[in-house]
Amino acid sequence: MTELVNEALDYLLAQSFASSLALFWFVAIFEVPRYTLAFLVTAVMPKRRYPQFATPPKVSVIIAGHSEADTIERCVLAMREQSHPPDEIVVVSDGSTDRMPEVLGDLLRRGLIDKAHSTELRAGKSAGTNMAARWTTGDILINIDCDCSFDRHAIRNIIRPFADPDIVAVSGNILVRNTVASLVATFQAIEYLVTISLGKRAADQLGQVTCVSGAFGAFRRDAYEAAGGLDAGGGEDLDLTIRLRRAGGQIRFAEDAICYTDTPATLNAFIKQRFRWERDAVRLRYRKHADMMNPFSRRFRWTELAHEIEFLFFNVIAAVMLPFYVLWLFATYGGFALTILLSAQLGLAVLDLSVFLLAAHVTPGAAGFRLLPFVLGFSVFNGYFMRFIRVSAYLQEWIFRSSYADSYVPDKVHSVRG
Amino acid sequence: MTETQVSASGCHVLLAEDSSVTQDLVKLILTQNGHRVDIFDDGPSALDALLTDTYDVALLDFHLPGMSGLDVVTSFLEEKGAGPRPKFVAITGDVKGLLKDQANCELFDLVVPKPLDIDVISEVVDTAATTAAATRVAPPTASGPMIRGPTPAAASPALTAASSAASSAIVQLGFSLLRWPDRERTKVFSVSDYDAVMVESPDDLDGLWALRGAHLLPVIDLSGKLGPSADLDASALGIGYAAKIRDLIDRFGERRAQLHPDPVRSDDMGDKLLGRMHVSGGAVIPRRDGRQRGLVAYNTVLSPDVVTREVRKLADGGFLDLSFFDRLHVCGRCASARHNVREECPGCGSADLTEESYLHHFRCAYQGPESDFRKGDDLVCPKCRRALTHFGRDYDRPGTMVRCRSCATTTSEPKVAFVCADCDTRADGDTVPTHDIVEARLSDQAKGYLKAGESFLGLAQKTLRFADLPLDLVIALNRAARGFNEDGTPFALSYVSYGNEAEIQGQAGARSFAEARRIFLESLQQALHDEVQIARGAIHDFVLMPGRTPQALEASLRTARDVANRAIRFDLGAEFHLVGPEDIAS
Repeated sequence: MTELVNEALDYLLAQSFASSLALFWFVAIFEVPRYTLAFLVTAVMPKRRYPQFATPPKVSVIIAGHSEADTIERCVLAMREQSHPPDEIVVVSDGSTDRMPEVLGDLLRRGLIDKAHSTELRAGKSAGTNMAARWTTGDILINIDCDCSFDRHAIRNIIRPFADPDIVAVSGNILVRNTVASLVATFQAIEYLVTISLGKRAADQLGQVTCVSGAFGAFRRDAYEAAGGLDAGGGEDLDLTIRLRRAGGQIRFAEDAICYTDTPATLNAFIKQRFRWERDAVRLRYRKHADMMNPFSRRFRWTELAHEIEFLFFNVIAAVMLPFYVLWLFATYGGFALTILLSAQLGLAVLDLSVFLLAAHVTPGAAGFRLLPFVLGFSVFNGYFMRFIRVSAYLQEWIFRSSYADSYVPDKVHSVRG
Repeated sequence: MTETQVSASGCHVLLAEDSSVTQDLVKLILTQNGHRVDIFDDGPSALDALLTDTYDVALLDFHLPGMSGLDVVTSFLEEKGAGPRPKFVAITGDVKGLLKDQANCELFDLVVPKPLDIDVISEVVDTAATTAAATRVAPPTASGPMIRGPTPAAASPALTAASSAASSAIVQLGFSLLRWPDRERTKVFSVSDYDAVMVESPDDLDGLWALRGAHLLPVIDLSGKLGPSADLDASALGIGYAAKIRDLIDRFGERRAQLHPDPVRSDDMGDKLLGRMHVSGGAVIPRRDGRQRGLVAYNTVLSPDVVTREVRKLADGGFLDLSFFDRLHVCGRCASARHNVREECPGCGSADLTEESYLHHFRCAYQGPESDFRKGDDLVCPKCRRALTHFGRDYDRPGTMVRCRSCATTTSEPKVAFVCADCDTRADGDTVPTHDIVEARLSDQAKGYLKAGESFLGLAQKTLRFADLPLDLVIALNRAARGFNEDGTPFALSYVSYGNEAEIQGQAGARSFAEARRIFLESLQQALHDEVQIARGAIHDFVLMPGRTPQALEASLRTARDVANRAIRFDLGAEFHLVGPEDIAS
């Protein structure tokens, strides 16, 4: 192994610029620009500053949960612990089969929440959240998942951007709570740090935040209502963000509004979750909002084209091209292809490491340096395994339209939604 | 005679009684209380004394040698006419027989049953002493007899025809009935005079409980308003009522006889309740009753609040075993349990609530109250403007919520509130105080107490009672008392309690304990020589030493105990409690 690495290293250093480009075109095209961009934007562009509120807005927290009897109280108490406590908390128990309605009644009586509604049939996250939003009276709606936990200043920081009247939604920063639960969880912790804490920060600077996370996001109420709230299930957070953007609203990312969530700790659960996300992403972008890519559509906007191209290029094409690149390498260089791949990976590892260090540096709450030993492994995991999952998910959705059968959404909704 | 002890309020008492035991005991007790007592063995001498001397109270045995107590009174009244007369108290073993004759009731002021309860006599004489002063000032009026016989008084006008028919039917059975409410005001009441209480109207039933012993009588309800609080509903008599009444009276009488005099005499409400529980079957049984503020009534006519309070106290003392009956919500202000329980709006507190469905439009994920969708007859989604036409395919109703018609607040969790029907106080469902109602049964401790009296609970803090004494001791004590009465010869009595009784019985068994106790007493007798008499009682044993003061006895007892203790294997924890002549009457 050491011999192989040495050989790869020698080979990498022996290349001229032109010859390395000929060999490592995949890395040069699909990896380097993206990293560099994120790096440059974050390192070079100044931090955003927001004006002060003339009058503080009324903040409503909405929670829709299905059978969350065990977690709801802690979540509500965490909201009451905030440096800027919400003005009202509205909770919907979406067809819970546990004691959640009783727990809500209790919270209501103790004055910890302001409104509670419980239904007997599950309607799905979207409908539950919409109904919660319907009962609110605040100017800002903050949608949270009740299995997340929140920093004391999370609310204060997520509402700050709304002082700018053009801002319609702000995404919170999501970190992984169960970083040491398993290797998969650790890799996801690194991934969240790089793609959310750093990636969305860069996207924010460029005005390209495309998903206000369903776990922790804030919306200006007028805009939320004008958009009609969430649409029927599956990737509804991405969908709403896209619709808000297309209506001309600006979306921000608040890196200091921190929320912690548990990621799937087993490989199986992780794969299932990612299949769902990737399927939903392509379904929303290429079916529901396909006209975004069509310059002749009435609803076409140049600003939306940028993130569409980014997604198409770095997610879809990169994932699809990887197997071809590997095949091409083996076809051209035979067994030596392994050495080439390894040397490419070595180069990538350097890039990944520097990006990770930057992400850890700008996200103090993440205790990122504990994750440092895993970055090399993450580099392989992210470069190969995750792309493999993506390609499989895209194929599955393209051929079988599997997102229409996710158990995440009740069957009655699948059969009719757009 | 201890004339010096006669106080200004002391009575002059005549006792005509042929039993010397009774004579000496009564004399001892009454003189200790400051009365003068003259004793006669037969009727003629008693009559002579009555005619020549002035007495406040005359205690006359009904069956006297020579002439009966009744003859004595009759002759006395013939001689003296309407002049001042002593209070005549008949002592008899046959109260009913005596009372059968209407005339007797007018002659005697009070009938005291045999065997003689020395405490009752004491009380009667003491009562006479307090009225004696008044009698001496004002000429005596012909006060009515103090005791009511079974004379069928005219039915009160409040009674309905039916219940008055029932009343006379019951009276004809020949029982001695206490009519309630007692319009003639029974002043001195003895439970042994009556067989049952006949309630004509349910007023002042707590007053019934104030009469000593009346709570131990079965309650026959003529009013029909007491329900199971009475022991028999006689408002409408069915076939076989006579057997029922006889059975009831027998049952109560038998159980009354099982009671020790202590709980019967006690004025403590807790003791009364225990006694009542025993005679009525051993339990207080609650039931729901909307007429009561507390929503609960028990199987006795005592007011439920008192029962509830006493049950709690008795249970704390270990006298009752409780079992849960119900949990009531009580008003924090007036303690009433009568509430209107209602759902109300968490916003404005109004109870004017109406239910409404949630509607879920599948296609666009809008979910909200039906009124959001309602457009005339149509359901139109407020978000996407599509008409909802097909239940189950377009939309469904995932649940219902509550809408307040006063303030338009909606919720799926209306508040529960309690509004007191008696004082209008409103309380939140989760803050309204609750109160547990229990059914209570007599514990073993209570049964022991009812059977053995206060001695069962430990004699140390209680005074000695004659009823506790074994017969041979009473005779010896009587002799000693006579000696004391005649020439002031002292005597000393000690009763022995065994502190470790329960412990030894638990470890070695009751027979081992009894055997050890027997040997202990024998050893004690030997150590104290012949000058003492030792008597064995049920719970305590007794040591009587005529001619010595308690102080003198105490020293010799202590040394004797050490000797006796060496003879037995167990430490009985024997304790001596000394009593002199002065203590006995206290």
